[in-house]
Amino acid sequence: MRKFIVPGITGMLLMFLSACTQHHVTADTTHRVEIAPIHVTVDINLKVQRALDDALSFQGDMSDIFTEEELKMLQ
Amino acid sequence: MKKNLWKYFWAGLLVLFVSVTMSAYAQNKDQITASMRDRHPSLLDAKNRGLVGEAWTGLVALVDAGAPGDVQALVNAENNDRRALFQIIAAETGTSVEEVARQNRIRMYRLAEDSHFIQDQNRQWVRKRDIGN
Repeated sequence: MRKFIVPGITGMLLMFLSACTQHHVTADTTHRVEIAPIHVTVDINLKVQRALDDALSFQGDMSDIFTEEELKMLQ
Repeated sequence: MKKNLWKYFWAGLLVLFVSVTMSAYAQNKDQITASMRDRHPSLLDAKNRGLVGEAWTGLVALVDAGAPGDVQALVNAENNDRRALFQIIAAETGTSVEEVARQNRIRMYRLAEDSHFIQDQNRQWVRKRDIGN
């Protein structure tokens, strides 16, 4: 009987350890767009763009800055 | 009983500290925005005259190094406000100041008129209409 105790406990410990995996889920608010007319692929960070627009809306209208698709994503 | 009173005292002090900090923070952001709004017509005029352009850094810069002193002062004041605003937005959105500056570059490049100067990837000044296409 004692013969099985140590391997049994070891086996159970291994099972517990393997069950302790971590899952990281992050919600990314960026998407890739081509900025015209400058041929550079850029990441538009919607969260930051929204904050910039909140503060600096006097500089121009959102429709002057973003495409229709981007505006939908910003809403 | 006395212990509980101290607890309430410290909790109240903490709430007061947080609210004062938050209101100072908001006020500061409003002040920066107001200052940038007031400066906007002059900055637009300097851009229309080809003296100032939007730099790759997300800030403004002199296109013509021989621009009058008041234009240099305008650029310095604008950049001071932009840097402060970038810091506030970075803290608000949990991103880096560099990222906010980069996003501002995208925003300002898109807002630029065709005749305005912007810096390309090689930090060369070009009119927006002359890039690409």
